[in-house]
Amino acid sequence: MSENSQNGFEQWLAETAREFPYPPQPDRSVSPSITHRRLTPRLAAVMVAILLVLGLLLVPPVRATLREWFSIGSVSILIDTTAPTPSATAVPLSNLPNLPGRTTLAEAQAQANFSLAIPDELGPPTAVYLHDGVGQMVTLIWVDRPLLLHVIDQNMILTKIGPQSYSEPVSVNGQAAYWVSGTRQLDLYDQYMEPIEGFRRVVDGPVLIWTNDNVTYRLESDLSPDEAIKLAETFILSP
Amino acid sequence: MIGTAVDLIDRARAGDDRAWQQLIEPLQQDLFRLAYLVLRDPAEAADVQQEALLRAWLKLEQFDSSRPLRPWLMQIALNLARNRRRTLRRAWARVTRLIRSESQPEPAAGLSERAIVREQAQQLWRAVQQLPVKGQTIVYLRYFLDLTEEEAAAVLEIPKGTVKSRTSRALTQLRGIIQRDFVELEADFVGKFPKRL
Repeated sequence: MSENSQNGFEQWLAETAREFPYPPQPDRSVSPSITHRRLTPRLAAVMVAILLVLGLLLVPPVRATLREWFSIGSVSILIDTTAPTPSATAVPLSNLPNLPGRTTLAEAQAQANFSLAIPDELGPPTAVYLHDGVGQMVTLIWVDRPLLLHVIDQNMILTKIGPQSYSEPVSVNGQAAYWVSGTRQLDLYDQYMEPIEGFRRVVDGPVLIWTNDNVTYRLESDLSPDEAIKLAETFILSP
Repeated sequence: MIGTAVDLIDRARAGDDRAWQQLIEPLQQDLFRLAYLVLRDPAEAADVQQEALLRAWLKLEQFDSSRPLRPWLMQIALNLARNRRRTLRRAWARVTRLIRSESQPEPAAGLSERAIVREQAQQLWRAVQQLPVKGQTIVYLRYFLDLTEEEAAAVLEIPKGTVKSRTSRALTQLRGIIQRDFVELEADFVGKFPKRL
């Protein structure tokens, strides 16, 4: 573009951009102002630290008012405060859920574009499912434990959960992980936001989500956080 | 209460609510607009604006009050918006936009001149979205938000010369995008600047 042409384009661009119809700013209940006259930034920082230490931010009713996103590996999770409480109740994993793509472990291992090593202590899964769409997801269920494990490749999976769910950051083998609990309806979407059909379920057990070697794991169980993390770390140690 | 920016910052650091309000009042709209241009969602943009102001306030102790406040706040908002966009992933935003666009009524047949200009600005935004991220950002800062080259350099923490070269490259790319994909915008530009072509 010549200098004259660029100047004209620049002028036109500025004039047109100036007319951009920005939407009205949504109201926010929390003012960005200093809400307490005697509260200084330093004092506020100290208070935030104290609150974190006391764990008050982890109290469910407090967290439930927050609208937030978090991502771990290829899984993004939206906590939607407007989502209704699921009307259905969760079906225990001991009743094998009816999921699509039932296959064998050997076939899933052959088809998956990631390593699917199962720790010996778990033994063979009761059921294996392979979703092979935009991305791949292998689902393994052990009904006797009971455990459900989604193993997800690098393609995005997004889940949207309701306000009755609570999340907290944890660590698996020194890596960031999340512990999610509370009753929620689980919907899975691929990276084009197409729902992964057949996986809609109500979940009320805790879930641990962690990553290893570009693969994301989502484990439903009735384990305590420590037990779940210990189990997750055996996956990392697996070849 | 009137005061210089340095005075106001000192007073805000001491917990003076009115001083802080006075500092941020003229800047809030720009923060929201910048976040909206990046995130394309007013609710997300409002969240970013709030978080940027909160972070700025918490970091006020560390802020060099000899520097202008606007680029610093915009830098915080831009970083938050970019991070949030990465977290949200584009697909989710695409879906929400799709849902909203489907629920919005079609524009009336006889648009007023003002409405046409605003529609063109919307189209321009869509054209800018086809630029690489660095190009988008420089166009938003310089032309949508009217920042000077110095201010844009401060927001992006790059030399002024890089702002110039980045702007020039973005304009050339944007011109090509408009010529190729935005016939109405191209006609509007050609109509307004015929001799410069």
